[in-house]
Amino acid sequence: MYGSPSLARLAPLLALLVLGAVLPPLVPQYFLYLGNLLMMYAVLALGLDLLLGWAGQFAFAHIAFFGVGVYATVLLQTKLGLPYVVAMPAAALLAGAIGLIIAIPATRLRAVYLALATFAFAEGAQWVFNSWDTMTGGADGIRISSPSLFGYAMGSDPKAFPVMTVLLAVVIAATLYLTKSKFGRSMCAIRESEHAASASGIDVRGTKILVFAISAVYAGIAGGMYTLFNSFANPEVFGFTQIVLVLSMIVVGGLGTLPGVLIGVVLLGLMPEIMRTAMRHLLVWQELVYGVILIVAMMYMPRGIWGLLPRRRRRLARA
Amino acid sequence: MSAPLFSLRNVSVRFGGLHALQGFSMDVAAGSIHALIGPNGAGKSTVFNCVSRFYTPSEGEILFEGRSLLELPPHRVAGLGIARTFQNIELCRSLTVLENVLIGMTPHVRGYFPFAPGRRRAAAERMAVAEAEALLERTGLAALRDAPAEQLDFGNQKKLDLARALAAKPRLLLLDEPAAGLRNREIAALDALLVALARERGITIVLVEHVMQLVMAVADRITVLNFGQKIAEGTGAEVRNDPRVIEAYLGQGAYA
Amino acid sequence: MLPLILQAAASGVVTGCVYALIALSLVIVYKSTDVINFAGGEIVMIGGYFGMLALLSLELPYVTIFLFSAAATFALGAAFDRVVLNTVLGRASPGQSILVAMVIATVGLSYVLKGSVRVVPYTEEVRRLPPLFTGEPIFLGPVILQRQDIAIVVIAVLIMLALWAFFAFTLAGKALRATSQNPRAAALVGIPVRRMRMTVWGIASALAAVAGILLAPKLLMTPDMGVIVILAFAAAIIGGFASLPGCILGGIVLGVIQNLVGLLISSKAISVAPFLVIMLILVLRPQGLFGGPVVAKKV
Repeated sequence: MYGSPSLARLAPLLALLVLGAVLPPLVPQYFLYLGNLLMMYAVLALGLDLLLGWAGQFAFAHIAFFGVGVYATVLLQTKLGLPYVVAMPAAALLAGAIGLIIAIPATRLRAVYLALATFAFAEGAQWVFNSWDTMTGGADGIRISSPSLFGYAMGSDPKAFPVMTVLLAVVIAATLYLTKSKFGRSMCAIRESEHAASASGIDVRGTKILVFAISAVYAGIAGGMYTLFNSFANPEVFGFTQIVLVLSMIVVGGLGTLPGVLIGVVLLGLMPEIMRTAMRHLLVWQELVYGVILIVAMMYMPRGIWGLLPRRRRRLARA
Repeated sequence: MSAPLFSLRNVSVRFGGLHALQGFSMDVAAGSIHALIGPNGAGKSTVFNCVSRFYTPSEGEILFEGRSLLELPPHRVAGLGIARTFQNIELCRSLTVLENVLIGMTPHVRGYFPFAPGRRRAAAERMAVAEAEALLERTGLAALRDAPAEQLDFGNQKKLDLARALAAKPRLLLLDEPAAGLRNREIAALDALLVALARERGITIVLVEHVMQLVMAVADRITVLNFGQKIAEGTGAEVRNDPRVIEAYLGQGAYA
Repeated sequence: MLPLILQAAASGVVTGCVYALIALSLVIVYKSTDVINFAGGEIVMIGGYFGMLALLSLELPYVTIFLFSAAATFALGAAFDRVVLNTVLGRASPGQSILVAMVIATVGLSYVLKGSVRVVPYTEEVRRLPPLFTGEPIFLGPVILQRQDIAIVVIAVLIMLALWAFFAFTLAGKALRATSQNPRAAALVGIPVRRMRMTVWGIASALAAVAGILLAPKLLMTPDMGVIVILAFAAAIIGGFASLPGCILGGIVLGVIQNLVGLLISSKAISVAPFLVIMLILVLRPQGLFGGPVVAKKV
């Protein structure tokens, strides 16, 4: 966890960008939609993993910042007339600012209390999304008109796809650099032993607050990504089910491991879709199947899929 | 005699009704090895935890190089030149030996923008890794560079805890029971290491210790604590024969 | 106004007793195993369904359905611990925290329970469990109480007393307390730690089931009933999340606050009140209204 990511680690990102340019005309829209969905979840999951997997903070306010990202991106465009390219980063920064503010009291709390307080915050935020009719459209939701980037209209899956790949590539690269840095080591130290971290000169509380804010920015970016390929958003999207889904993605994939998180995103992101198409008549079985998968995964891979690899392989992947 | 490098003046620490420390004072001279001993529960680790700023005394002053530590938040203490090890060996278990040492080096690694590449970053990391590897050589852990800390045996874990503390380039080193669980051969090596650190590198060392063999061998001065109060202080010979010390360890009537 | 407030407070105490039972269920598991049981609400739900099954299909007398449901959920909870959690724990290397995996396992359980209930054709018809007692409401001064409500409070209090007696006076209860305070020492003196954990899960599940049956006549029985668990979490937090008497007081306080908020502010505010309470208490007084001072870990 030192030095910088090697070019070999960054190369797959170029492949991602190439796919982004090449796939849209070749592939049916449904698959592009799936791709967009997974890319958005990937950003959400990477953000939560920084907080939970790297810094070891059991905080579940993440989904609220996702909501802020979605609503703020839309509202900054409709109410203030800002173009997408300004509205989205602004919304992400707003999410980060709120995350920073929440972090200040939250970081005084230990484990289970932190989890419950941030969870309560997320539920409270969903209540706000539901009630603040004038801004968010309340329970009926908000319409998202097609955002455009310097004249290039993005509101459909094929049009949004290349932009999403760029956003994801940037986020992955930033994450690789962040985790391999002095800051990444500080996050790990806090996770493993706050006493050793503090005695080594790491500002434990300050770092926790920063990680909170950074992870909220990731959620905000994911919110901005949501608006690229969806025409509608309502508070249901920002609820308990979603946070549980993202949490499952990173735990099943492998906490604190970038490839693991991405694998978790693909598996648990595709699963509802696969179940919906393959088990169309058996819609009512979905919850049961999902629950069994989670239980079995935790029984046999409690450190996630990536945790199954022998240690050597895993370290090479991390370095 | 010059001013002590490090001193506690009249420090009291209370946990509810329990007085962990009462009016405790101690002066440590620069470049010396000072031992803090006493029966279990006497309050020795509490002293260290006050220096690390995990606890705040209800009374008293802690001075390092004339500066009060009690005004500082915990993470500033390392930057001043004070490092410590822990009774429970607080290591980052899933990280490698090298990474643990790099963490200890945090106050000395130059800051840089973490999200992107850059020359500052490359230079800072290069220097950090080089220094960490040199430290591993000096402490005999070089072969275990990439081993996860949790896989090390007990003796090596203690060495790693010490290496992590040394990585902060301390002028004052606080060692919490460094000899606990070590075999005689390892204690002798530790003895030599501590003396080298103090005499050759000028590092002032305070050790909390139960293993008298080590204490008598290396300590220039010994302070004895019991129930949060200082009951004796002096050289090894003076302390060893002090009736109050004998009574504290062995009970009344043991001195004959 | 005063009669309305007293009425609101009285019904608050009634619902509070139910919250208290569920909160006890959550806190017992947390104190023994450090696990937050995200399936708590679903166990309440399934307890209610077991009760309904016993009453309407098996036509057992009302009093026995409590025992039936408690026994069935006890077995369920114990089995979950034995089969699932044990396996997860077994794969942890010493010193490594496997808590997150266990918590996700409880999330899985909640989906399994919800999904199972949804799948069974029996539950397609939405039903309501009839109340334990019907008849003339009782008048306590200005306050009107249904017989059912009084029954709820009485049953809840009896259960809490039984639980207290169990922990304080029986050998098994003391063994359980020992296990939760120091599993290693408990194992060393011969207490079968694994079996203790199973028992804890069993007891916690049974508590939740009783709460489910008490709750069912007031709510519509659906597989989504489990969302009530957030109120139980709030109750547990008010009580300090680490003390059993705290749960009881916390539950009652929450029930009363909810009703007063609904009366004096608005009914819309009722749904957000528990979250505000949770956040406020954790920020201002993490040990809850009734917990002791916060203890720092010894280094």
